[in-house]
Amino acid sequence: MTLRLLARRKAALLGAAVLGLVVVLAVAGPAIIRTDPLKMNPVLALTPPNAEHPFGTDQYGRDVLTRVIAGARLSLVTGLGAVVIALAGGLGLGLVSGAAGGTVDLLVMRVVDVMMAFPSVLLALVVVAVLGHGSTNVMVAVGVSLIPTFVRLIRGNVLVVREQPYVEAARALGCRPRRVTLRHILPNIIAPVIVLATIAIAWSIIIGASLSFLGLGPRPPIPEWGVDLSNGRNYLLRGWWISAGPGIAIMTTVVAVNLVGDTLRDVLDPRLRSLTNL
Amino acid sequence: MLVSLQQRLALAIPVVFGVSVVVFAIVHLLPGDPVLVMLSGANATPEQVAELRAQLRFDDPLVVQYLRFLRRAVVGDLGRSIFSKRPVFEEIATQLPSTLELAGAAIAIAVAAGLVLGILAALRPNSWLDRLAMLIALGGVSMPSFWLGLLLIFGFSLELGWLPATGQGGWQRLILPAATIGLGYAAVVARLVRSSFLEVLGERVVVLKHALGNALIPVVTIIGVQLGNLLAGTIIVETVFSRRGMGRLAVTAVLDKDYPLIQGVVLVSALGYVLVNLLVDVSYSLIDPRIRHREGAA
Amino acid sequence: MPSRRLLRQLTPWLVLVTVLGGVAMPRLTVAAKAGGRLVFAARQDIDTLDPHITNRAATRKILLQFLDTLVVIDPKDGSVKPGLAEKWDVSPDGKTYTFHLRKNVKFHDGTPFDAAAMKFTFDRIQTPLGAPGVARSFIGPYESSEAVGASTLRVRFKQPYSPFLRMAALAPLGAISPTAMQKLGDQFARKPVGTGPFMVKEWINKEQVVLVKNPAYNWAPALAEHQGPAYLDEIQWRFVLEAPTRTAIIQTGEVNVAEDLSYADVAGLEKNPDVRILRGVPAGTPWTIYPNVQRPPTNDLAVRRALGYAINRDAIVRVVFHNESKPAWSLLQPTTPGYAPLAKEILPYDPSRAKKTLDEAGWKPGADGIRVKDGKRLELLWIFGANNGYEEMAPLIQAMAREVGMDIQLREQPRAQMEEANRKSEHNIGEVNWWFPDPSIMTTNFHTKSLFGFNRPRLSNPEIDQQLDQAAAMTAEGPRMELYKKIQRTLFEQADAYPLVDQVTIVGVRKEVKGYRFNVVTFPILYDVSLEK
Repeated sequence: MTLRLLARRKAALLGAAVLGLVVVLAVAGPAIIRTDPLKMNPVLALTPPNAEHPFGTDQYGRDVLTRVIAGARLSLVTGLGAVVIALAGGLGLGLVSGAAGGTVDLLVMRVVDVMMAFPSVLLALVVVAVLGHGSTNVMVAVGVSLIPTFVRLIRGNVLVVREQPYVEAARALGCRPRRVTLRHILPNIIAPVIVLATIAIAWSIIIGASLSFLGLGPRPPIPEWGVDLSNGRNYLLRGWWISAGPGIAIMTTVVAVNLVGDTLRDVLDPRLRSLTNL
Repeated sequence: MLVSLQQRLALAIPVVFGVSVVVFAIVHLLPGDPVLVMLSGANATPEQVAELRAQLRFDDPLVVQYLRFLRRAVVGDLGRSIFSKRPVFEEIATQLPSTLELAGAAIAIAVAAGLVLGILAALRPNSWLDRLAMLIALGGVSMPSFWLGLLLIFGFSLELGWLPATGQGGWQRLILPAATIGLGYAAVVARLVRSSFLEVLGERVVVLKHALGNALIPVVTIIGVQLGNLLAGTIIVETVFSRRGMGRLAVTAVLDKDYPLIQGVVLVSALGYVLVNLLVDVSYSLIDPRIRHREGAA
Repeated sequence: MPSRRLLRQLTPWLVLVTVLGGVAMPRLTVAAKAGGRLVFAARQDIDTLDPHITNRAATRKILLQFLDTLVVIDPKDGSVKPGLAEKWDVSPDGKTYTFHLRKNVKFHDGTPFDAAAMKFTFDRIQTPLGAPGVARSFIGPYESSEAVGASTLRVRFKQPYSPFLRMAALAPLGAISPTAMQKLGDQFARKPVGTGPFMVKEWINKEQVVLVKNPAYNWAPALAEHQGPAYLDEIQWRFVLEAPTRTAIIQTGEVNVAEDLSYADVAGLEKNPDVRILRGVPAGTPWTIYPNVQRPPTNDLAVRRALGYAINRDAIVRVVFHNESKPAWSLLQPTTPGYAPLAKEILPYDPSRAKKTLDEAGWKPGADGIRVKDGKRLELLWIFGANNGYEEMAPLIQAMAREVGMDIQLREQPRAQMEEANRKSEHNIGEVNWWFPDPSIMTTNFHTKSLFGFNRPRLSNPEIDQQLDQAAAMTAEGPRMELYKKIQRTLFEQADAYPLVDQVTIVGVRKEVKGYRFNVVTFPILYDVSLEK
């Protein structure tokens, strides 16, 4: 058991380190890069990775590495923002539904069931088609489509925790329902929620990239991993590095997030594994 | 939530209604005159606009419109696609079988790969085998499907020439697109299979049947998730591989703002999801009698 | 070592096989041509199969296979040759065309093709069918037609219309069956009926159109290389929107022909022994973008001129076209009569001149490098169509404009929505390019009466209108072309259009495909195609 945890820890440390790096790049990136990610240099178009351009240049002569670093911010913010929205909605609805019980619960869960009936990508598609292009709209769309998953999880855990002795005790002592919820229930369900949130970040980044592939993301020439990955698809033969850069960035980030999430889950409580499996 | 079949069914019905309300509302929630919105980009003559307006009767009270929508939907009249002018039902009927075929193959691959990877990992926990298997699985789920799809085309179709890249017909054409979707889910299956197997292997007497049965539950879950979210996996893959299907239909309907078609597609996919969930829940109770009467967490 | 007995038993069979083989062989080589199914990978999806509603080249290519036209144009010299019409005369005033039609021609539904059917076809183009289809544009100032007997058709125009002979060669003006049209109504757009060497079997939306051989076909046009029915039994016209996929499948052999291959992939494909690369320069207009002269800031002549000076065509040719084409300096393709590379002197690539022009007009650089005047940023909106061909050029031009202080915002829309936005004048930059055998296409691009159609610059200049009308009416070729050159000069001086790069058609054809031909606008002619086993 300890052996497994240690091994996981190593993986998680690696994951966390990678994530840390990505975050630093996202935040500080635009300040530290030397070339302009928008600058086109047709003479240098389609150069393979070399000393001066470690990730090569794209079909317009733009430095791929610079674009990957610059794109980190938008891609991460979209992913994080979506999860924040999903968390907010999920916590709001899930806590209320789980704690209140009865008709409220029934109603909320039916609404959630209806929402879950719409595949998240399709939901995101329709939202973006209505709201228009751009990463903010993609973020909202993905966030909204993830709310049902969060509600389900949070509500489920609230139901379990509600029956715990200390909660019963608090209620018996006459604490107001809101206080009970916030002070006693919330801290005890936080663990699986954190785990889900971490994994959801990975989902959001991928769904966001997919929406960009379908043409719904930010407009050119703004660098973003999904858009750049899509842009390179006509050059897989002659310029594989154009897609490889953002592709590897997405994969690395997602794998790192997943590793961290897995370890968080193991560390926080292995028993929770069954509660976070959806 | 209690798990008896009748109760499940009873709970599914309001969901179906809820879905129909949302689908109905799509067109009405948009800003502007719904008829003009529906026809924008379709190059309609004033006569066609008037005809559509008369046909749709958007001036009636919403409830009346909703009931009419429901009544028509029940008999399969989902209106006509604005672009192709064919009945929506027909459009969907043409595309659905291909998507089902793709989903079936994807599930097969996901289950097969997931089982293999998960069992391998469980047999020697924490060994390099375990780590490798999980890493492969992780890779599958971390790549955006369109990239994976394109890589598979260029790898197996172009470079190696083993498999065709596009079109319908024949099991060979199914492999690459199905693998693109399936490998993504293989990771989840592998992880669940691994933990279920570990639980069982820890016990004194290991009965293979028991172990497999235990592993079956997450597998069934994934099948349910995959089938239910049919559209999610297929949307990208059908575009990349130029395959007929609901996913591609959905994307083009949304981009074209072909609202009757969007409504039809969303309705069918949502109903499919509800139906599949029901079936999955039923199979749960069939597989594991313990679940039948236990109160689930979700 | 086989026993002697075995050999004795086998001998009669061996002899039989050899004899039969010898007899059958010559017949096999002769019969090898007919039959087979051709799979064609097309770049763009279609909106309809109705020749009078469509506005897409993608549809026109398919129309060409199942419709016949009155005449055909020889790509070698641009001359007009007989099709469904055997001979024709034009009245001296250029307003009346008389066609003497071929006899014994039938539609796919068995009804006879005659002057009445052709009249019906032309008249229908005038009815409001919703979309501004190209047929309406092509038929010009049409007034009426008259069927004189079964085999003579007289077509009258409101004004002299000299391009009409060339227009009559275009598929949207091909003959359709009145019986089928009246019977099918709305559904005609899904399964139209013509007289061509192939018939429409079915159209599976977003996927493919299936055409089958017309066994009764016996009236091939003058340019055809054989007579009688087509060789191919069936054509599967597949919509493969992704360029890398088209490249992949032409190599694996899943398709026999793949059009519009990615310029980046061509060099690699040439090395493939199974694939032949065919190139053609179509008549028509080059890749061109147009500023909206009615909407700020492109209503400012200085802004328009500056944008013209900012475009580096060499870079576009290198980066986007991988040197497969050349810079375009005329509003027409080099293979079109009236071609005149005037933009080279009037709107050359000169970024410093662009900056100077903007400075002088009061557009001063702002903090982010984008120019500002009266508190307004120099922002231009380019609404470009999805999969319309400009996707790769757009970011490059956007960067070039940025260099001189202009901010081009790119917005992608599906084709139909783009057309609508253009008609509502919501854009600052619009795009369109044509496959067309005559300079009168400039009327479709710049005339006031095209404002409801394809007039991207939203130009309404009475002088230009009058010159365009005049040029369309002139019968003498020399003076006519001179007038078109003059019009181009004026348009460039007003910076009403920016030709970018010449259109070059690149098609990949597998080695088993014989007889593939381009027509004058490099659309595929599949009538003479056969598949070698």
